[in-house]
Amino acid sequence: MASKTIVRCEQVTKTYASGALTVQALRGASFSLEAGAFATLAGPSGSGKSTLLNLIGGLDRPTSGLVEIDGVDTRALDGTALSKLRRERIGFVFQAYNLIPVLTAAENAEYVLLLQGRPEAERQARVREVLKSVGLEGLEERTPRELSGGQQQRVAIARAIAARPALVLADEPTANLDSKTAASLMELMETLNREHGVTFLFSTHDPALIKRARRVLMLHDGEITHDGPPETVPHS
Amino acid sequence: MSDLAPTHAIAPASAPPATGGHSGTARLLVKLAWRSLWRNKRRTQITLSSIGFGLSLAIFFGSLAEGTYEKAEHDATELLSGQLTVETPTYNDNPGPTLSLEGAPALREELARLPGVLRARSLVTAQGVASTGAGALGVALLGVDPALEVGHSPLQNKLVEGKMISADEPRGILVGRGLAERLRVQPGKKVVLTSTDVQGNVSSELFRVSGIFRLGSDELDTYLVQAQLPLVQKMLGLRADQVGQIGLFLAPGEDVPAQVRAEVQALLDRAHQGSLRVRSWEETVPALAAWMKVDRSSNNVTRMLIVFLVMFTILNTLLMSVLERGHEFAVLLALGTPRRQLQAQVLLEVAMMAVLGCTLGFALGLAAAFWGQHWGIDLTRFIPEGATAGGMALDPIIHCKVSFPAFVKLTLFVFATTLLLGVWPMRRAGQIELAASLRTQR
Repeated sequence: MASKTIVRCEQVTKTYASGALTVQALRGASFSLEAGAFATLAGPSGSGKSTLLNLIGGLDRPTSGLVEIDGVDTRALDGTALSKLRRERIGFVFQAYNLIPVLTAAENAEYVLLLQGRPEAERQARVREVLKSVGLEGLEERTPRELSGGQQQRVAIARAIAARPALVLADEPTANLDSKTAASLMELMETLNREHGVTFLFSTHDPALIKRARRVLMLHDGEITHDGPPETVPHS
Repeated sequence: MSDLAPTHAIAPASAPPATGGHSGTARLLVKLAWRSLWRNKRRTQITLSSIGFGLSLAIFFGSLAEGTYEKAEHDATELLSGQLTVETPTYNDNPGPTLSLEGAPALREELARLPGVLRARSLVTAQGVASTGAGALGVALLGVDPALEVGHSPLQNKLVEGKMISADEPRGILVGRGLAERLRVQPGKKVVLTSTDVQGNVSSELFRVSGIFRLGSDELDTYLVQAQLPLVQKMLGLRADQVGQIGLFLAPGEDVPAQVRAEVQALLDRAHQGSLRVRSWEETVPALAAWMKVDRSSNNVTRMLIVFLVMFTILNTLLMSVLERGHEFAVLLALGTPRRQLQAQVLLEVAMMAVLGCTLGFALGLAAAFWGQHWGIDLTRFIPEGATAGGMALDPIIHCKVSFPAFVKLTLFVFATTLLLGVWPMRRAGQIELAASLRTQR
């Protein structure tokens, strides 16, 4: 049985205008991502990785082209429906962790479940489960400022997967971490993907992390220049 | 595959959300708002202090002004007529014995029995001349029943020499210090008062000074003479049942004067067929009423200015707290937080701030007003010559008037204004550009 398509992008372009200046951040990007994928968007700074992630995550709208998430054509959605799509089908992990500073680790992990209106018993059970899976047992009541960078990013991953989204988007999730912590976090993401089937699409420009993905989408000047396993990525 | 596996059976975007978590969302909102309020403790404390201090100042100064007005009204009505005055329709045009009302004792007793009336007194006023060996001066003569003045007359606390008039000394009078100095009299000295009686004849009586008062108004202290009603009636050729006015003193209550006035007018129309009328103190002492009206308006403007100055400081703080959290709000939106929920959180923060600030301000204002009511503020050192308003002397020791309804009204106004100010930051929170704000780092 063929895997379900979670992301489908067709000729996606994005142009930013600032006064008389226009910047074409994406120039007709097309690709699909199946359920259970562990893929990375790689490329140098300014290549369009974050822009493409924002469009897939429904945080921004393409100038042209199709972005379909879990079978939903995002062009047809208004702001409220996009918000609902993000809440119910997409998990986000940001480069700067972006935890809610006034909530504890457990409350951060619970946040999206609360937005979804899940019953309390279900929320508590899921929070316990995800915090255990990211190795944060015993740190549930700590606030972000009481956690290290690596621990904060684990909470961010717990928050992203707690609602069992169809897709987890991670924008340079290890960029603010030291290499040891970054490797540990990648192991966690790999484990969640391998053992729990969580679909990951993350951006990075770290060659060590690119090698750990099962699929690499190379971006250059807003175009996908390569799509394949890491070993097929041209060295240049 | 464990329970962490993605649920591809998640409801589509158009389907209704799962139920059972509305109370959880409400709790989350309260939690987020409350904790966000205390993230920057110092700023929140300063903002709360601004609201509290501004409101308490407005309450205190308002109660001080109302206390001054109440005392001025009290002194004027106790001295001159009453809160309501019954008289002949043209009495005000030419006050004097020819326009006196008849059957006064019975009418006074009848009026005193009306609901809302605490007591009633008879009064005769006349223009005359007071003379001694040292000279003569024009005076206003007030004939009162001394028994009814005990415990009420503002002159009691203003005596600088001698004692109050009493039935034991039927010829006793009270004169102001200015008059006493000009006529060179002291308590026990004789004064001849001359006036015109109901027949138009000149009439004189010999009086003896019982006491000398100092109200603080040069006009009143050189012009006012208080004597006993029977002798004044005799001098003016009036019978014992004829007086110029009957003054009524009323129970406290905002609506009482209007209600009693209507009842009194109905009684007069019924029993006296329009030969008598009732007037409020604002009509009998119009200069004082006008001063109070102008001063109250001016005070209200000042208080509103205080409140608005405080409010704009608060608006600045509220706006800053939203603008500096643009990135954080963008993250919340990215996670799927509905914009209206974000706006509700901001408004809830403002509401919490308003509740705390107003509670603080109300408590401080109330405490200050109670202090001011009990101890008063003595301005004698600042205005040794005394102060007058609307022709009446103002007591230099001013007391606050504690009025819960007025305080609550002002507090609710500040609360509502703060909430209203919260609309702007709330709207700003709802207008955040998601992708652009996410790109900015905290």
